[in-house]
Amino acid sequence: MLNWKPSDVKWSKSTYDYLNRIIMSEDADEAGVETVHAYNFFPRYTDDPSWKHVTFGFRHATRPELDMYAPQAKHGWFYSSIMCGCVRYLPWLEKKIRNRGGVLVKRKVENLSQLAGHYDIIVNCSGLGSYHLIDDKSMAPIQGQVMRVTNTTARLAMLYFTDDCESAHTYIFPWRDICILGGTAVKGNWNDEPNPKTRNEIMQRCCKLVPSLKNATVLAEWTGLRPWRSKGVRLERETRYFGATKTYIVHNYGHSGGGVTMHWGCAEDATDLVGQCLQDLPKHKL
Amino acid sequence: MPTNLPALMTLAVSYTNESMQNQALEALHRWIGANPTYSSVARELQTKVPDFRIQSVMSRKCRISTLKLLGCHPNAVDADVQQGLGVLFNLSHEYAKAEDCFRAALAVRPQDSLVWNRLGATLANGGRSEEAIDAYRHALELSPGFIRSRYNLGISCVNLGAYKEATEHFITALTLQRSGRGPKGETSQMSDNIWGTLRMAVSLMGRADLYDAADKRDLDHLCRELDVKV
Repeated sequence: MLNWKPSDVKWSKSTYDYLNRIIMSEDADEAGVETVHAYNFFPRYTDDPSWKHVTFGFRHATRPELDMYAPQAKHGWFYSSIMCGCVRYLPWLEKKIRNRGGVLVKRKVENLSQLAGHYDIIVNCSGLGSYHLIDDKSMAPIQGQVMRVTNTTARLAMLYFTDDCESAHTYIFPWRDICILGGTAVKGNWNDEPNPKTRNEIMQRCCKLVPSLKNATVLAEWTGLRPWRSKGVRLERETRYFGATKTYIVHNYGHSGGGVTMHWGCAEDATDLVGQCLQDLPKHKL
Repeated sequence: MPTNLPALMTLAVSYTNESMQNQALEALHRWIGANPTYSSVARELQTKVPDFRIQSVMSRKCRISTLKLLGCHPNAVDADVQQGLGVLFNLSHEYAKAEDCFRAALAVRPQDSLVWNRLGATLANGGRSEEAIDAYRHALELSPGFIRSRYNLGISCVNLGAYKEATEHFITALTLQRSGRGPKGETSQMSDNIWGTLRMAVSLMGRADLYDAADKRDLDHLCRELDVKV
C-alpha cells in the first residue's frame, strides 16, 4: 500500500488528524490510540509515497539509522505514525454510539432484501462479505497472519519490504505492553486458520530484526482476510428496489489493508451520502 | 417587483419544502424588502450581507445580523417575522430554533392552521413525530380540508409504524384533491408525491396485491380494499 489513489490519501489525512486529536484528548488511554515512530526499510531506492504529507515528520532514514536498524536495507523512511488499537478503540466507539441513543443489533444478513422495508437507509460496510452479499466479484481476500506478543522494550514500528516494495514482508508494531508481529499477504486465499509453520517463520524473521523479541510470549495469533477490491474502495450511493420498496444503500467497502488507516475519512464521506439520502426521504412540508 | 406578502412567504415556504435553499432565501429576502415595516432592514441587509445565500446564512455572522435586524424591531412579536425566521431555521436544519419561532407566532395567532402545520413539520423533520401529530391535529381541527397537513400526518404515521392509519390519511388527501375544482371548474391533479408515499405505506403493510391499483392510481379500489371511509 505505498501508492494510493488521491481519494485514499484524502481519507487517510482526515483519519490521521482525527486520531491525533484523540491522542491529544483525555480519551487517548481508553480509546487505545497512541503515537508511534515508524521506519519503512527497502532493499533499494523507492520513490516517496503519495501519503508523505499525511504523516508528521516524513523524511528519509540516514545512513547511520540504516546501519543501526537494518544493515541489509538500502533505503528507508521515517515518520510519525499512529497505533489505533482496535481491541480498545472499537469498544470505545461502541460506547459513544450507545450513549447517543444508537441501537446495535447482531444478526447475520445473507441478502439485503432481509433489511428492505425495515430500514430507510442501509450502509454496507461488509468488507469482504460484499463478495457474497452484493455479489461483487471484483473483491478478493489478501490473507495475512499475525500474532500478539508481550513487549517490554520495542518502541519503534518497523516495516521491512522485500523486492516488490508493495507490501511489507515483515512488520513489528508496538502498542502499549504488547507487540503485533507479522506478516503475510496471500491474495486469493480464503483460509482464516493460523498456520503453525507460518507463525514460526514470522517469529524467526522478527527476532532476526529485533533480537529482544526472543523473550516474548505469544499471547494470541490469528489470520485475517484483507478486503481487497480490484477497483479500490467503493464509497457511493445506490438506490435499489426490493419489489416495490425503494431503499437507499450507501456502500463503504473494499479498503484492503488500509481500513483502519482511512476509516474516519471514509466514514465522514459515507455520512455525507447518508445525509443526501435523508434529503430524499418523504419530507414533512411546511 | 411583486409585493404580495403572503404570496412571497408561500413561495419561500415552497422552495424550502423542495430543499431549494438559494431560491428560498431569495424569496425571503424579497418578502423582507416588500414589507413596509422592514424595507429599511432589507436595505441594511443588502449592504451588510451582499451574498444572501445559504453558505452565508450558515455563517454565524450573517445569521446574527439578520436576527438583530429583524428582532430589534420595537413592535410586539410580529407573527410574520417569526414565521420568516422559522423558515430560515428550517433551511439550516436548526429545528429547535425554528420551533421557538413558530410557537411565538402561534402565541399571537393561535387559530392559524398554516402555522400549526409549519410547527408540526418542523417538529417532525427534527425527528419528533409524536409531538408533530398533536400540531397536525390542531391544524386539521381548524381546517379539516387542509391537504398538506393531512399528508404530513400520514408521513408521521408511517414514521411511527402505523401504516394502516397512514394510508387512510393519504387516501383522504387524494380524495380531497380529486374533488377539488379550479376557478373555471377544471378538475385538479392528484399529487405524484402523495401517490408515491401511499404506495410506500401499502408496501410497508405487506399488501403486494395492491401495488397494481396504486400504479394505476385506482383510488376507489384502494378505498374499498383498505376499508377507508372518506
